[in-house]
Amino acid sequence: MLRNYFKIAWRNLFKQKLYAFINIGGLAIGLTCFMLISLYAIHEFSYDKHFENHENVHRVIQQQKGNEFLNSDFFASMPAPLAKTMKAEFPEVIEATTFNIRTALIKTNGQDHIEESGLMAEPSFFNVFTPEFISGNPTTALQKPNGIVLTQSLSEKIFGVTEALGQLVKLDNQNYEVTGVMADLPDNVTFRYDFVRSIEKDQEYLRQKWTNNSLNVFMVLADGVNPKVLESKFPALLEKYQYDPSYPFKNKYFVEPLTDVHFSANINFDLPKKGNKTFLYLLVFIACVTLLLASINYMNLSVARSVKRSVEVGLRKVVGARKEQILQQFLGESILFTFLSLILALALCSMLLPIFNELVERDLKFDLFTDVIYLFGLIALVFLVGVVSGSYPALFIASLKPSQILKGKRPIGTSRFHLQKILITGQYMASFILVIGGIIVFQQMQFIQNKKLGYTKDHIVIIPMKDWKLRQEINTLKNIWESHTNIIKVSSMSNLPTSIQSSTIINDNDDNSENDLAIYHTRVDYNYLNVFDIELLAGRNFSEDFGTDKEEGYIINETAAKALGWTPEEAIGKQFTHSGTETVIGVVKDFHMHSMHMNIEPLMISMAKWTNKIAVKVSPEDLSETLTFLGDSYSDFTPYPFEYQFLDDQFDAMYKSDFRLGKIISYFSLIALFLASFGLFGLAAVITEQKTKEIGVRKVLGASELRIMVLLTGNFLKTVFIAFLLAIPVSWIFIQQWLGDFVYRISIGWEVYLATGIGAVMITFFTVGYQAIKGAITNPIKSLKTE
Amino acid sequence: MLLEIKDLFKWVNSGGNRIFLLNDIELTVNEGDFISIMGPSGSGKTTLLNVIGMLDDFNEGEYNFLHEPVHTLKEKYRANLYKEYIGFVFQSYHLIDELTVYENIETPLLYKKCSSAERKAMVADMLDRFNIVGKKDLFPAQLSGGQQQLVGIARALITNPKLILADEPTGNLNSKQGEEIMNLFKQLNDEGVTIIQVTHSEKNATYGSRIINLLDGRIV
Repeated sequence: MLRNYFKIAWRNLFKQKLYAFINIGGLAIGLTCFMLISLYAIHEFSYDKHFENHENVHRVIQQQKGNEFLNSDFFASMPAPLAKTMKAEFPEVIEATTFNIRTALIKTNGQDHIEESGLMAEPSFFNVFTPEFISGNPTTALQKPNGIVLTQSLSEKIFGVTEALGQLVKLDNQNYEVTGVMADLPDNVTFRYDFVRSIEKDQEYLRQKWTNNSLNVFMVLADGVNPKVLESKFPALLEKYQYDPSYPFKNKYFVEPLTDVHFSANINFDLPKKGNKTFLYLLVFIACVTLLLASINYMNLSVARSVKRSVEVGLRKVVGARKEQILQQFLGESILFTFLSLILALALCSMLLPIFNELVERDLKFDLFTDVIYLFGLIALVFLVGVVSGSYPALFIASLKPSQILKGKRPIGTSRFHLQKILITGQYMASFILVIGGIIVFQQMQFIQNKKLGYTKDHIVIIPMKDWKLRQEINTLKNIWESHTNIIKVSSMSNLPTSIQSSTIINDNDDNSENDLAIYHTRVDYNYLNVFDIELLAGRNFSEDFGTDKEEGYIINETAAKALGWTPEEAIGKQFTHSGTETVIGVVKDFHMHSMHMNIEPLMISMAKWTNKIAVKVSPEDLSETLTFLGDSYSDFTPYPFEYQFLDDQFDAMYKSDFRLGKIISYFSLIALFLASFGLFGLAAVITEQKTKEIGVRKVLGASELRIMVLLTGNFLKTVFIAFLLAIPVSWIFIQQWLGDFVYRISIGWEVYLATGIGAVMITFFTVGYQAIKGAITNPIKSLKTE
Repeated sequence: MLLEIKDLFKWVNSGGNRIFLLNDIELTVNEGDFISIMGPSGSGKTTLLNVIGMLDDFNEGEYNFLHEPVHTLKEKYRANLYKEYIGFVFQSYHLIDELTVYENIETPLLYKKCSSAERKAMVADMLDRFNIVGKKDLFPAQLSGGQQQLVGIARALITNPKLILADEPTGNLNSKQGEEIMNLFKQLNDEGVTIIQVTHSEKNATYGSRIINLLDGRIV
């Protein structure tokens, strides 16, 4: 029996190659999308879950009302004494630890210098986090003030095959003793580190001040403790320890589970490498939609083709098949189809994984046989898809009446075509929404890149300075560089104009704290305005001719002047209070000091004592030679490896998630459109075949070929156009939502919709046209004879 | 007595009018009969055949098949009845295109509780009997019309039915093929199978023992 079903399904598959291709190919594409995205989703939800006690690990974050910074008043940085105090005073807190993320320059045995990122942590660190130790004792490893724990791969980089435990290693020119080696961390750890060293040498930490927020605090709660209960105890704790009348912010502490840290967003000074829940949900949504689109194709085509198989079904019933048996047969067939697509999808999946990895910035692996649960999940999914997409056609076919079929009546109910039309409308609607969304995202990105920023970002090389020695000798290096013919100007600063990330509070000197102004602050040198072509509206640039500039000269932007109640001209010579009394010497035109997601805020610029970045304006000629020159002379000053980035790349990086969104949407809109057209093409083929007789009769009665084509395409065209009309409001809502995140944005033009509409008509015409022409030019004698 | 139909009516309502497809049919068929139903197009021949075959229902009247009252039986029980006792032969053969001759003949057995060995033996017998052993692996499209109908009849006979219902079995065949098929029916009838056929041809009707003439759903 099963063999018979299988045989007939198999032979049908080869007899109807186009139909089989559309069904299997479509389902395979749907399954591939789903598999890739599910791999990503599984990975995203697995973060930090491998720590034994992950359910009890939490961190403390704070909200500082009134200290809005980069659009958020939440901060991950906490005071140094918090962890110890919590452990001492709260019975709910079993363990607590404080750490800081720092990179360090490490000297290897081969005398090279490598730069690695690691932590400075309290000895209790390994009581909270539990990476596997290969050697050393986790509880005592950080008790020595010069203790350091390395990951295995870092240990191999430094010492090669030699045993690392007990050896000395030089970090930033200080000696540390290796007190432990831990296994490399898996991929799904929220924050990564290659070493953990004692925090005893960190100046900020040693001050132990409650008003100085600069460290991360994590803790282990006792089983069954409600974090809310803990949160309610913080106000009293802060009252007791942090009370200081001069401290400007009212802050509130919150507890966040470790497993949420990967997804939590909009927290200032947060740990690096974070997930994005919106992006993940969008992907999951897209995965379900593509799979659904493919299933709909299957349903539509199977039902349309049931005409062809109706004789078989009628016969099977006449010779004794019960309804359930027919149902079984057709469900089995769709499960067979889905399994074939699964095989294809597995191949596609492993082919496309590298591209997908790049898109989601993960290093996902696709290894079915090590992940048995995933494999079984997949098989279950295939069954589900097979049953879902097969049940409707199977039910339809199984309920056909044999006497009717065998009499030659064709099973065409009008209600069925309504459903098919609704399904096709849904498919195209989803595709159009994605297409319109893709175009708008692209336009907005274009807008951002072409918008006048108020500074120049072309041909500027950015070099970070991590070495204190280099920071002291920066002027010498600047002079060497500026002597090169292809280097136009060099500036050093604390913040690039693309993103100015420190802020403070100033007062306009009338002793009324109501007039305090929150203002962003960057420290620069004499060349800053020239290198970035920032325009002065009034006053002057910093100058060596004015000795006082270094101490009290400030340049502010237009917005700051306005906020302080001055026109640019009035502002010159005005004073305000910051660390002392400062004087405004110039006003610059507003420039975009953050991404377009944010407004331009008040800004002040002062002369820097210390800078940490160099911006080199180069001429575009002989760029590689210039870069080599920069690198060579840099290495004369510091052992740190030479790193550089172009400013425009760094600028683009600010919109990485937006670019990524645009890419994802355009990829998937293509896939969706492709799937929908796939289905339409197949359906057109089947329907043209069904209408062979009608076409024949019409031609005999004198209809022209054009009329026949209009007859065949008109209906589809109407369906697709309705889908387009429905897509307009839905896409509009989505786009408003997305664009709402940008302060500086495009307005949605009707051109986008017009273009999509024209595209819709063309796609329909091309998809259906081939079948229509084929139908229209058939000799009517041939088509009528088949009856 | 194989079956008995009393005061049977079948109608459809069309635009307020009741159109009778079968009108007051009285019919008794005994085992071993060979009946030909004749009549012009639209006179209800096929409808009557489908009603007898239990593929179609009727609105009024009694129908007893082997003393079972078909008109009161549930769908499922009725299906069991026709599966067991009735074989169908169609004008356009209705073979399954994707199955071979062998597989087509085997199909009815798949829906009965038959072991694979039994099936093999029965199909082999049938192929032998109709002299088409050499064609068992061919697909319907590779056969002539007459051969296809032969397979159709073989398929109808494989379950050993008491009654064969044939709807213009020679309608798509040329005269020589038609004659062969009619001879086959005659021979089956001689072996004891009851046959009811619908036909347009006076000549084919003479193979049977009785002729029923239908006009506008009424026996005349």
